[in-house]
Amino acid sequence: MVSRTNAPDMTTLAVSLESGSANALTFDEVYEQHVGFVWRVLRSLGVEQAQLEDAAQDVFVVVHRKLRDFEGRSQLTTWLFAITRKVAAKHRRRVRPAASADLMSTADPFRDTARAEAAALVARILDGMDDDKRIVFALVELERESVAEVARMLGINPNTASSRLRLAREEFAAAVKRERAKGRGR
Amino acid sequence: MIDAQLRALLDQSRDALGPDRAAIARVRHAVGMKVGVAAAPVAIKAIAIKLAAVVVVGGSVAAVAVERSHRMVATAPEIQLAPEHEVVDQPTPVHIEAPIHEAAPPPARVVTRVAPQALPPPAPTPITLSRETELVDAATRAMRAAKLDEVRSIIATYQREAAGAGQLAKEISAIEIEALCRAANPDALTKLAAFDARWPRAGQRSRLTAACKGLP
Repeated sequence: MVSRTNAPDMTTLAVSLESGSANALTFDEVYEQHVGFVWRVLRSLGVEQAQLEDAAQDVFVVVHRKLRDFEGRSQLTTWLFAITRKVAAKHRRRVRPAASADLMSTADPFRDTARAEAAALVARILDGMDDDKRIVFALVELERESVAEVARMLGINPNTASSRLRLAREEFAAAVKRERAKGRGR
Repeated sequence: MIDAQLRALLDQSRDALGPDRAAIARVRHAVGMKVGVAAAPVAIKAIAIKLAAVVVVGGSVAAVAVERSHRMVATAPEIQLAPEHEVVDQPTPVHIEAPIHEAAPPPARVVTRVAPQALPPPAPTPITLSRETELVDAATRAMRAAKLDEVRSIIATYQREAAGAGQLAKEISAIEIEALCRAANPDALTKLAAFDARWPRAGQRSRLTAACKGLP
């Protein structure tokens, strides 16, 4: 059942999801729980770091407008992905960045240095992948979506999704090996 | 399947590949500004506004009365929504379709008798979301620079200015708790419990868990 509140403001817009639980989901909750997902997916879809905030804003403006229409027939992340993909298409960079240096510039000294370095490495490798493999890899390995759900999100055959994932994993593993070998100065 | 070492690499990098707290607050603020403009239109057919202020100073009474009335027909800007299959370009365009007509108000009649003593300070204006975002950003930068005293000072400023009514209270609370945990301050656990009670499904929780795991 989809219910509407009268107040259109961000904190009180509520949607009751039909599937599974009867918990009302507010826009705030959707935002907090999925802003990371949207941000990483935008990045995986080729949006430049400098454009991520603007792109994320656009996604959540649409989410706010359409949340009351979401009936829970698909996973929320699938629904969010559809919106995110359209927004990313408008923001997508024309040229791949040489390196994700700006990831390091946002590093927090309190964060584990190893975590920041890991993120920079993963970002570099993902940037080097082609779009099809990168998005499948990111959705499965970073967002922990199932291959079946990823196939639904992308509108592709599950076998195609599996194949892209396999190739992406091989590419990722080889790239990590190369990077680490470089780091050891071989 | 991906091996355990690569799995660990990916898990380690996941959070850092997402937005930081300041970005989360900025995006939320920006969305709030945009959807605020797109709020349901407000039609005001006729409004008569009477304002009366009475100021009591040191036993004497000064009365200031201002009486105005307006006849006003106004409609908030109406947003052109993109069709279902499209997504609006950014920035979200605002099309103001309804004109605002306002008749010239009659001259205000002002009667003032001002007491010679100083007036008490005006009631504090509520904190704006822009100001909240500014403070959250400043607290985040101070955290990054490991300036915990500065973080505490900014949080105190926020709490004073917001007076319990801020929209980014959760963000600032999370920063406060993280700063307390980094300083190994046992108060962090009490505040963390209060945070969980108030925001049981907060997205910041995993960060706080990581920051506070060293505390007993």
